[in-house]
Amino acid sequence: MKKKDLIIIGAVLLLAAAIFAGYKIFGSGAAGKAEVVIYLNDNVYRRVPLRPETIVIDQGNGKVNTIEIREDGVLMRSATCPNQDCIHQGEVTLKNHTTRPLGNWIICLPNKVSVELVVEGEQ
Amino acid sequence: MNAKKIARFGMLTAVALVLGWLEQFIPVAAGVPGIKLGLANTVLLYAIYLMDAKSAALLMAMKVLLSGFLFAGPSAMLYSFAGGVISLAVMLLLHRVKDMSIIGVSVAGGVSHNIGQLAAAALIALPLKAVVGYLPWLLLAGTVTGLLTGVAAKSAIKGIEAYDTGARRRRPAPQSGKETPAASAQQGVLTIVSGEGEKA
Repeated sequence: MKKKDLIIIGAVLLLAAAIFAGYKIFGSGAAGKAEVVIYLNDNVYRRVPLRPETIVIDQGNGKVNTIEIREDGVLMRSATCPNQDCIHQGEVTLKNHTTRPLGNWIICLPNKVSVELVVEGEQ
Repeated sequence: MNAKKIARFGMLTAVALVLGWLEQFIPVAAGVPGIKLGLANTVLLYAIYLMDAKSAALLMAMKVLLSGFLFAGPSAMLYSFAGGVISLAVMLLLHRVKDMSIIGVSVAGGVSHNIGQLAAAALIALPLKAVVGYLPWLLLAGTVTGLLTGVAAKSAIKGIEAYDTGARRRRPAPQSGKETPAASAQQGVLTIVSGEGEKA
């Protein structure tokens, strides 16, 4: 390990920390209550308050995602994508959204469906 | 391209493919798209340090295409290709920098691979906000996996060079008893490799 190796590593970690902090501070600036925002492609598809509900997004081309909203979080119940990444990403809750690897997001890349848990006040 | 070169390319492509395939059994972060060990990058590092830019680019393209068709599927192939092109460019540039070892190059490669992947995903499927939220994790993951593959590549290259020095000393009497077609092919490959390494 040489000097410039350490510089590269330090620079990348700093950049990561800066983006992370910026995202936390300037995030979405949600003023209201906690809510779930569902994106299709890269547009907002629906905003839903955080209370138990199941939402099915059927894109009509064989791509179907079922999103389950709970009292304190949201998860992808089923998806017709081949890799099932979004199912393995598990539930985002009001408690775990800062420590999950994907933060407050559930992402189904193949079906282009993203789910964001917007936390009250904090974001 | 002569026969030796073709043999070497075939071998390196196979090693990269197998490493990429093995990786799915080593979950780094289950379900998180884009985060993996990147073991196949050791082969690219080998090509960058001991061969040349053209060979490294060809290997990268072969790896992305073949593992796309065999394992990953067309959309994942697109993301890997975006990551592969950017990370290769970054690694080729940085490996000439003084005071930087293969570990730093590997870290830069891992990180830029993740950036390229995410950029492609952002263009195709992701809202910008998700990209920004996801980027720090991908940077962190790229650093850690880049370190690991860098260390692996460093010791692999060291081992290959040591073996090759030994092989060259043995060469005056190459017809040792254990000479099989495979062994002689391998020895030939390693000999060429070190020859180019010395020039560089």
